[in-house]
Amino acid sequence: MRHILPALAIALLTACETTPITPMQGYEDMQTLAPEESRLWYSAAELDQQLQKSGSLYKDEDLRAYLEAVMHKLYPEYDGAITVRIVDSPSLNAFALPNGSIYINTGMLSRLENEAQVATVLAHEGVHFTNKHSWKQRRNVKNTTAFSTGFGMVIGIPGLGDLISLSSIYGYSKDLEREADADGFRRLQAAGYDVSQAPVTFEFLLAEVEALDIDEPYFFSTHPALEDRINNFRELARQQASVNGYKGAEAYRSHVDKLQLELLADYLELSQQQSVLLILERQGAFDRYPPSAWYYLGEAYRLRNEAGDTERSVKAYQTAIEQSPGFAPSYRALGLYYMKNNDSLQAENYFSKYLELQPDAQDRDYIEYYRTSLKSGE
Amino acid sequence: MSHQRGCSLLLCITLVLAGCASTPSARLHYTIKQDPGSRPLQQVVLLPIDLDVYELSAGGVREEVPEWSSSAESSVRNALLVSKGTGGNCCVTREVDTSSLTPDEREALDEHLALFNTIATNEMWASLPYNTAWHFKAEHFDYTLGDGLGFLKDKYGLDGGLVITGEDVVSSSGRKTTAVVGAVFGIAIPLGHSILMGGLVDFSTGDLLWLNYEVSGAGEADLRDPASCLELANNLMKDYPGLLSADSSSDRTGK
Amino acid sequence: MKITAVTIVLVLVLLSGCAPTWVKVDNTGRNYRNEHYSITLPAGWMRLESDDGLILSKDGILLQIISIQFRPHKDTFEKIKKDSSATMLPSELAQLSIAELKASQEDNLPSLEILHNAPVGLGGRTVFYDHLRYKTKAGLRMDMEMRGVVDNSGFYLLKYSAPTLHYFERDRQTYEALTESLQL
Repeated sequence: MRHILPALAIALLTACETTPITPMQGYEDMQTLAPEESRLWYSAAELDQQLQKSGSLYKDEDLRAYLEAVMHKLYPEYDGAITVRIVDSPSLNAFALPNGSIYINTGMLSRLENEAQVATVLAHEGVHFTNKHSWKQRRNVKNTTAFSTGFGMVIGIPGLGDLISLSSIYGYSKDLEREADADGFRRLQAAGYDVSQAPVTFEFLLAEVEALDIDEPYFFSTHPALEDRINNFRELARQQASVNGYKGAEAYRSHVDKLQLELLADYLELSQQQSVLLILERQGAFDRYPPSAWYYLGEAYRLRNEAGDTERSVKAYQTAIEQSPGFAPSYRALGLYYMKNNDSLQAENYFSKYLELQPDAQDRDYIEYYRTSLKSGE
Repeated sequence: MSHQRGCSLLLCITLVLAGCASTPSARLHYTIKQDPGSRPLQQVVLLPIDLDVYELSAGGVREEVPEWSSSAESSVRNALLVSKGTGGNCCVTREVDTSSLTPDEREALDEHLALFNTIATNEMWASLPYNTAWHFKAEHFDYTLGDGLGFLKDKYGLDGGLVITGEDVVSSSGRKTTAVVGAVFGIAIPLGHSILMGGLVDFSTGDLLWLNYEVSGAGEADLRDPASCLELANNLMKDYPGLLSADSSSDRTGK
Repeated sequence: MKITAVTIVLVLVLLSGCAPTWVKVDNTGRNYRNEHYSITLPAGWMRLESDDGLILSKDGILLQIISIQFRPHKDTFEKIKKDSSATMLPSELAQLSIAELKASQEDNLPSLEILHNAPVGLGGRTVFYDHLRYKTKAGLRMDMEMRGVVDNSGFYLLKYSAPTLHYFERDRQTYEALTESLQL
């Protein structure tokens, strides 16, 4: 009892914030902020600036405008005030700042298959903003740590409050995530999207997480586990009288085509060949990717370098040349293969073709060095 | 708050709170130490001040309060600009109008301020008590930002700039209550601190002519309070070398 | 200890009291040799030996840093989980070194620019040479040069990094002279 009293005293004296946090109804509500809320918006604005200055944003105004148009369909009452920006990162992530800045990674965009799926993600993130989840979470953290600090002192572990605060900061609580899923689903339906795509969005992400044997990506870190969310969405979709709606596969692909190939290159630059294999070995992948993607598949096999991968990579490069004869990197890849296998003639043929197709290649100096070495017999 | 500025302030706080050292003494460019009259600057201006004021919740959550930060910047700016009249040691009479800079000039200025923070962090690191091999950097203080701020000299006729950065962490009432109860159990709860960091840059050469830090523990200073800002600014500028032209020669020694 | 762009890790090690020993390179101590290589160090610079290799700086590790690292062919590139080999091409080594650099940063260095990437001669061998640039979170541009080569025993990497403003160009020749003195 002696030890409980100080903790209770702390909890009472450090009076928890109790001003009710009510969801926004539209653009007008963005114009008046409570003092506690305005601090969060200020921090969010600073983070916006930092992201812009840091070179982290992917520059494609056409794609950005397309995503903002999707957002406007989902949240028409906000008059386009909810912004969408693209982060140049291959990881599967999307997040919402308290000031209405929504960010989605190129990695996430490259995985999705149609507009209904990206609308699922944007609708979800939009709810975090409209329902002021940042503020709720922040208050929860401050109030939790206030009590925890007192409690921590009682049980003789100073700093326990900081530990709880830290673990809560990484993502929203499960309750808030479930709210975002449910409200987001309603937005999806109201905007006329095919709601059967909502669980699909997470099904293939789950497949990827499992195949790559990674901890669930940040987007999902305190989210209800992926399987729970898939089941939840399936139930929501089942409850709807009609699930037919707009999918928007062609419209989506026309905006992300360039991005998809760039992501394959990004993964290879980071030596994340497993991600490339997961994407391109999936059935029907080459319905969605241009034929030059065979080159990236070849590179992924080369980097993986398991038994049989050399033969697979050569076959993939050859397929790339057959189906996309103007795509230069495939020739370089075969040139390097033949050079390593001491076939100077073939190597020179392919190197020569590579430089003919891409005279301003960034690695021209390397290729010329290899050609010179081949001629001198080194 | 810039990432790099955060590192230098972290070092500063850690040193002081750990009792490893008192606030490091002011650094003076070695050419000035050798010949105090050798680096006169005609016009010294205040570069954009960067101060952040945070509130610390009961549980130790830090949150910037933008209106406090803005007010602190105003108070410190006023303190520096009127310092001479109140027995202080500062000499600046104007500040750079950033709205008159082109986007490229603003970007250049921001990058040089980021470099200043990096240099300040580096100097703190070199001054760590057990980093004795690097203590020569304090004795032969010769850092430079390069000549990239020469445009300020050309465009505005300015010789040098005073850089001021810092932060204040203010405990909420809940945090103070927690500390009181904590004391009963013999548990120390950090309550905050105030830090000002100042540097003088020669725009022609980019040399950092002077660098100083002023650190106060919880309750000793409060950047929300104009009077406290004046005192902190005066303490910061106590060893300021002045370096003015002959028409303000009484300030040359900075005393 | 791996040298990364976030040198605050090194600083915190110092704060914990585990202070590594820096030594000034004087005229008599310029010739450095270990079981893998020999090299001539610049006089007046500070030198630190770590498990990972040799580190040099003149003004402090945040203002310029030269590192010379040797890694065996197994687990050469820890972050991207790749080995090197004696037969690897310079372009392949360059690709893996850049991938390792990106993977060592939380955000994968989205601002990284490759200013130059080409083979160069060094000590009778052909090595890769990269000149890179990126921005820190604080908005400070950093330049980095890397030269790397393999032999039968492992992978050698020489790096030089400094702020683009003033510092990088100022000491670039010192770094290049050092690399030219490398003997495997």
